Amino acid sequence: MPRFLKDHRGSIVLAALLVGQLTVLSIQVPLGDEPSYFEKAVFFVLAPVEHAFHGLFEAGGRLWSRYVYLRTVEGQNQQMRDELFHLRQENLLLRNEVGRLKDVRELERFLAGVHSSFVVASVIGVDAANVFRSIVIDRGSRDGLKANMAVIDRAGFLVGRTVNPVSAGEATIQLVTDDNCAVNVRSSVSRVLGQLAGDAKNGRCLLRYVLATEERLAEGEELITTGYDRIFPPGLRVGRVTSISKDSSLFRRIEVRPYLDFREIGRVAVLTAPQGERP
Amino acid sequence: MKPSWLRDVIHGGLVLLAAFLVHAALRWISVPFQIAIDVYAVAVIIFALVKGEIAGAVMGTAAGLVVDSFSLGVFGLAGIAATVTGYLTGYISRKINVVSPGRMFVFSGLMGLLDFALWVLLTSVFFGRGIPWGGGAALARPAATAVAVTLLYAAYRKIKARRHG
Repeated sequence: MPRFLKDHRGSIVLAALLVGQLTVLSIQVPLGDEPSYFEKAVFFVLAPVEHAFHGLFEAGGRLWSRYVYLRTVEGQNQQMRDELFHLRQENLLLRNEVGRLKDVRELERFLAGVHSSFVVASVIGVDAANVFRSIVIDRGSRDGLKANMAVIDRAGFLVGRTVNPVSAGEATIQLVTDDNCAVNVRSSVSRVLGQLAGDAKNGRCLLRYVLATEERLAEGEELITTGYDRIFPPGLRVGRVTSISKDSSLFRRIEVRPYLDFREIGRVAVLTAPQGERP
Repeated sequence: MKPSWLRDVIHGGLVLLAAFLVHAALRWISVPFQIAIDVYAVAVIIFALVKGEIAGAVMGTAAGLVVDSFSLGVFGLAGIAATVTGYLTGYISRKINVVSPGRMFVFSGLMGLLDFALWVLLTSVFFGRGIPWGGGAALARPAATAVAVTLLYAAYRKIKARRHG
């Protein structure tokens, strides 16, 4: 090996690595948010590892909660029995209501549609660089998932949408708190329209494109999806307006606290049926 | 006997896998905790301290690419910051004495700060993307990195000393 190369081996390796990464960056820029093949390959290799680790961790947790730590079980059982009782009553009432409007066969078809229109998934990972941007779930294309499907939490609040990469057993979810996310929403009382995007900094969102002349929107108002974007179905609750201020621009600066709770985001539901076919 | 570069690759792969799994496990604790502790920076700094600047730079590249593959951010940004951090950690630690816990704490804290500052600069200034401050939890990152590196490096030295009698 020439003496120069030997003496400057470290600097040469550093320069080569940086040039390599700048090349990767320059390949990525024209692709926009679409992941490169390399990014997809790393995801496809490591996501199953994360999936398996999550399974292992959950199995350990189950072992602990099922056989060792049983202190709260009785209370939880009672609470769930009460909840089940109320849900059964509610289900019965709703069935009767729907049954009044449709015949039995139509009702059965309708209920079968409800069950097949979503996939329940567990969160197995969060964004490695920015926790407010994305999560990874344990369901993928094998379960009928593809990009641009709306995702809600167990309370029915909007979480985000599926984005690429989606592997056979795992999928990436772009959260509503990501600054590149865009959801068409309207306020529940004043019916003011706007576009919701995350700030990706503190888990908050901003309501964009509401003109400075708009006076009807008030703090505390709830925001719900409109469905105009053809990704998120109409009527999903997203969050509440926390502050409205005027700045020098054409639009108001409106901050929104999303209902999405990072501590409670263990299970989510992906709405798999296309918007027009949802029951 | 395996060649030393192959041994380094295997060790690096295992350290990276451990960082990946620890990061996944942190989700169960809390979000601010996950923001405050940059597990990948800890892995890169530790590896650079033990193996030197070239291995540190390569580890930084690999760790950055894993981070970017599991993020919707710009692919390649975390890698650049971690590569520079890994290289400088290995290089500077050969030039000055950072073995004592006090010095190691300050040094690894500075390296953690460098990694964070580079990433913020690249992500926010050049690409205009948001930084997850997490209500200020992110500012604790260099200190958390320093604590983790100091403890892990002390444990590594103890194990190494015991092995060599």
